[in-house]
Amino acid sequence: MNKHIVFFVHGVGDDAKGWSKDVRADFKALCDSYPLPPGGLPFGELFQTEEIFYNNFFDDWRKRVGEEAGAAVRMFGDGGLPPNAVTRLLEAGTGAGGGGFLRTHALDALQYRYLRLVSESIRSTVERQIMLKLTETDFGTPVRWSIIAHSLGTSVVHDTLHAMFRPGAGAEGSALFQPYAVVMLANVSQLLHNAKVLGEGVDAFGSFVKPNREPDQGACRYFLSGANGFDPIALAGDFKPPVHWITDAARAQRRFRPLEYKAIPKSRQVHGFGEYLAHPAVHVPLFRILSGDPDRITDAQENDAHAKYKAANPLPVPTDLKRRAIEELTQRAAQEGWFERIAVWKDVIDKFAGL
Amino acid sequence: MSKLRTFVKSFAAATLGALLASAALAQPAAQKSCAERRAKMADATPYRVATSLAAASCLGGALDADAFTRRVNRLFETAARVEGQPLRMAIRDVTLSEQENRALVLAVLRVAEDYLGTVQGAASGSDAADAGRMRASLQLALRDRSDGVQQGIQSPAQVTAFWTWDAGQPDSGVAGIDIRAMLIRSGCDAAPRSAACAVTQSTVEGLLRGAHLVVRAFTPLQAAAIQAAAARAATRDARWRSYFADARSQYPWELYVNSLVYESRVRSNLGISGPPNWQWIVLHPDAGMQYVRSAAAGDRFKPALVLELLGYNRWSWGGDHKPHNAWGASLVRTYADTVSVPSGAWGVAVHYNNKYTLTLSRHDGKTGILLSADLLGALTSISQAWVDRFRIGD
Repeated sequence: MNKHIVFFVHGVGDDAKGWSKDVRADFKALCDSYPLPPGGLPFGELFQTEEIFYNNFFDDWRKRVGEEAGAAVRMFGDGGLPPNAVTRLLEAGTGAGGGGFLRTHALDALQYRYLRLVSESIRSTVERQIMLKLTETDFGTPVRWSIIAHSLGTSVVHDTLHAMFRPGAGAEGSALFQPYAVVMLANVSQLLHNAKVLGEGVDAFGSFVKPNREPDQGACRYFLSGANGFDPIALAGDFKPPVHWITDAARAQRRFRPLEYKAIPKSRQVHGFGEYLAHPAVHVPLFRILSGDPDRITDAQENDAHAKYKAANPLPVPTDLKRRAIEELTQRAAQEGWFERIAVWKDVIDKFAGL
Repeated sequence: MSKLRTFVKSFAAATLGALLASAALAQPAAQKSCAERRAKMADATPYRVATSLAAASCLGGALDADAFTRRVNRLFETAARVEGQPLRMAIRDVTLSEQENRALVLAVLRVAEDYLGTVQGAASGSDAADAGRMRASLQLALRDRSDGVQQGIQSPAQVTAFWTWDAGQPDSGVAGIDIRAMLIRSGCDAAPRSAACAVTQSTVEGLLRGAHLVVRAFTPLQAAAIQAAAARAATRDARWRSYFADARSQYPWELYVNSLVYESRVRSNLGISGPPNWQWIVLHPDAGMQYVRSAAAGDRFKPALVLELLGYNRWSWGGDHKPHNAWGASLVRTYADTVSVPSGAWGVAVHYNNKYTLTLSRHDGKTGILLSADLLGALTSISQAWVDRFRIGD
């Protein structure tokens, strides 16, 4: 019996293999915290959670360049025989291998946006990891899978799914194994969209990654987009699709769910992956949709969850320094300038985020 | 073809066997599990019971003890079985030809059609009409399949989504049948429930089971599509990994330049593209050992830095998805701490297999040879004596 596979895709930062362990454990604990409805399946019988990891591409490349440049620098010692310009090139190479320049979070996003060799390799590895898991499912039972992406991961997932499932060459037969739900938390897929990747004139609102019952009209059955009103990155992402984004039927069937809320969690990590999932405005509709059971969590239980969340995460007073800093960043994030909106990223990650 | 024959024979045997021994072969644990679930929902609405059982694989799924479902399970097991090997049911382990796939799809569709026939026969009034409509859709799908029509081209019944039940969308129905409306029509939402409700509930569960069997009938096509896409993805990803690990390393600005060139070449491609089999080399610093035969003794063999100003490297992808037969060349400027010959010189570097670089440079009319660390290491391992002679010179 195939379980519903749920992939987790990370955002920017120093994520290492195994990054999702706690997020997935918390996700299960959240689901289990609600009483099972009559005949409902427990989490373990319903879901199989899997991690997707793409940072090793960045890391391996940076390490290799850094080591080679470092070896060249060491060969000449402190004497510094090469001209200054060459020395600076070598230092740029060694810098790539360590922290600094290429490891800053905002630049992770910019690398993904502007270095096609990097972004294409990332999409390729994400695709392979998804497909590998699908081949491990049982023959003779339908495969159902969903994907939950966070931050930069939303752009990666959007672009990957568009490439995998948009009708045409290279996507033959893909209508047969589309994802069930695509869940984007702090969705920056429109902010970082690249028409050179998606196709001439295509943005995240014109791509094939939209929900529809019919596989020839959309890449998934449900699309959920989470945004915390206090998360500057979500505000910068500004994922607000136009009305015509999905068909009338899809709209009537509520296949797109904007999961919006405004909260500052106790940890103050307004952008954290785990913090997004922990909010009832996100996980209640998510569990209902993923389980295929709209009654998995009752309305009363949902209201209770909201009340408990508010009690556990009271909004800091307006004079609270962290709150003021967050609000300042949200104002910057709402600015028109594209680079300004990207630049906010680094400050948010440095000051408030994490997993 | 032999596998197809084996499959067809096994299909007949499996069908007969399953029919004769369905009850005896039923898995007690699975039966109990679904029965237990049903028992726990004694107070739930028929709609809730049906959707929960469907979600728990109790209506046409792996845990369902129904004889028709078990026939379908047997068909899949038979198709997946390879003689002399333990049964492996993962999609990656099942290799069927196109004909075998088609035969399996048709076989499962026929079981589903048989089953819906029994559901229709047991239903009454409007329920029977609904069951008849679903069965007619299935017969259409069967006919299209038998005629070799590909999925999605003819009837909507060829598409899995048509048969997939989504409890979150009761109004959109499954196979055009609104089961919630059926239950309301029979008074299942009223208390106490009418006698007709029990019959309709059974019909509804039967329709969900039949629909799920049809969904399962299409899974060999899904599996084949997954296998093909996974194979393409694995090849592409292996090459990308090799591109970053085995091709010549790239400094950040080289990655930017190569990205621009790559983007211009793959722009019209749909889907995810594979890595290039080339790279431009731009302002690439590297180190090696420089030998200038006519230099003073202390300057003959010195560490040197090479700045590749502009170059190009190209290879072909091998069956192991690694670069093979890679050759490249660059215009270079070299720097070494020498006195008897100029420390800087212009030259040309030749690259082989993304690893070995031989550079020839001109130092005021004197020729210098510069070996990359890898090339030097290779030569050292080939012949220490040769290297000694090289060092000393004539």
